[in-house]
Amino acid sequence: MKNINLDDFGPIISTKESGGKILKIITENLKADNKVSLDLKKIRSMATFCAKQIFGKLYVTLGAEKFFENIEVVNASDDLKSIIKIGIQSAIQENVSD
Amino acid sequence: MILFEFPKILKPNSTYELLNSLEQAFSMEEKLVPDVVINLQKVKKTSLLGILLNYKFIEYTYKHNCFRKPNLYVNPYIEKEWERYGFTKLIHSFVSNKDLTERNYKNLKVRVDDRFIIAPQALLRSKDYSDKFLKSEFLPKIENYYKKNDKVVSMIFLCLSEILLNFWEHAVDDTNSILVAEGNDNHIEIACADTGNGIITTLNRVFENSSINRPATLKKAVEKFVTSKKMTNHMGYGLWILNQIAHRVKGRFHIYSEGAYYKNDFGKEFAKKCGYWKGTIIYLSLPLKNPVTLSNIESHDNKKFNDIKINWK
Repeated sequence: MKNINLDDFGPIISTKESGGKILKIITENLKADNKVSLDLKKIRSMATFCAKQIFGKLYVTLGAEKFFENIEVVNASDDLKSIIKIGIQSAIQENVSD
Repeated sequence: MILFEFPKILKPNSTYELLNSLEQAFSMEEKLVPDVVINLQKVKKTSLLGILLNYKFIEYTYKHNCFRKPNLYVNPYIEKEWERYGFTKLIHSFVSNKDLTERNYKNLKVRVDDRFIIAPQALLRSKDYSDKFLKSEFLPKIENYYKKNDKVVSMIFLCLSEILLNFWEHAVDDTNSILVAEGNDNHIEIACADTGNGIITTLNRVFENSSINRPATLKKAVEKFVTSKKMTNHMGYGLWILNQIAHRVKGRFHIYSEGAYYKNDFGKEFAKKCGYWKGTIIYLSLPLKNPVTLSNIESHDNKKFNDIKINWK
């Protein structure tokens, strides 16, 4: 499993560019290692847009089962957990496009 | 002579009056109207929002050649306030007709003392300036100032995440937005203004009933799932979150855009017509006694998220 920490993107993720970079890092590491562990310790908050862009896209692309099996999320605050779930829920309800 | 007079008091409550007195300028783009006076001499009290709108008005009218050699009258109080909020050099660069370079924006500095923090942040889209300064200067200083209360930091950062994303994504034709935050132990205010495409223009494009009036459009803008960019990563949560937070902490959330405003003042909502402002103004004022974050509004344990399984560690 590949450990990815997102410290460099903290303390808030609030741009489409940052969201795009993070999605790319995760996608590339998933291809190489199959499983990733994402450390959100230094992330205090994230725009809901970015949650959908990153986690919503991954959830829809991988499917619920693979998303659970292949991605673990470490050190997420309760707020981040809510933001991430809101992003995923919205992506499930639509087909995400850029 | 055409007179643009700023009212005696430039506080959030007087924004309606201010916008009424400035709206004519937005119909003067590239007209180089002669014999114009911008008068700030009567201003006796101001605020973060008042100074920001003062700056954006001067910037817009100079950059868009609205007036030919306008006369700008100020008093010592307003000059002191420009200095306090860090806008003096920016305003002087317009008035002296010098090229406005990024250097002027980089002069904006976060000021902190025991009793308050004033944190201006230019939202420039060129290079990576804004993101770099945001992460190295702006956010760490706010985080440090409020370090005694973790939940306050989370509430502020949640609001900043949504405001920044909204302005960066929607105001693409106004590359000089400035975000300003000012606070003390008890209270924080955040304001951001642009002169790009306003919320009303962008939202009315997607409403099926395009005859919906402007105040009603703004009222709709703070509802959940209302977005101008359906079927993208936008999902219409940002303004809803800001409004919910203001509502729950008994604060204030104002939006002004293109001849209308929406206000949530301590839980009471108003949406009415006002003077035209090209673009969007957002103002948020939050007491910090009982901070609220997203997990208080929509918990990740909520039943509606039951089907979404995430491997939290």
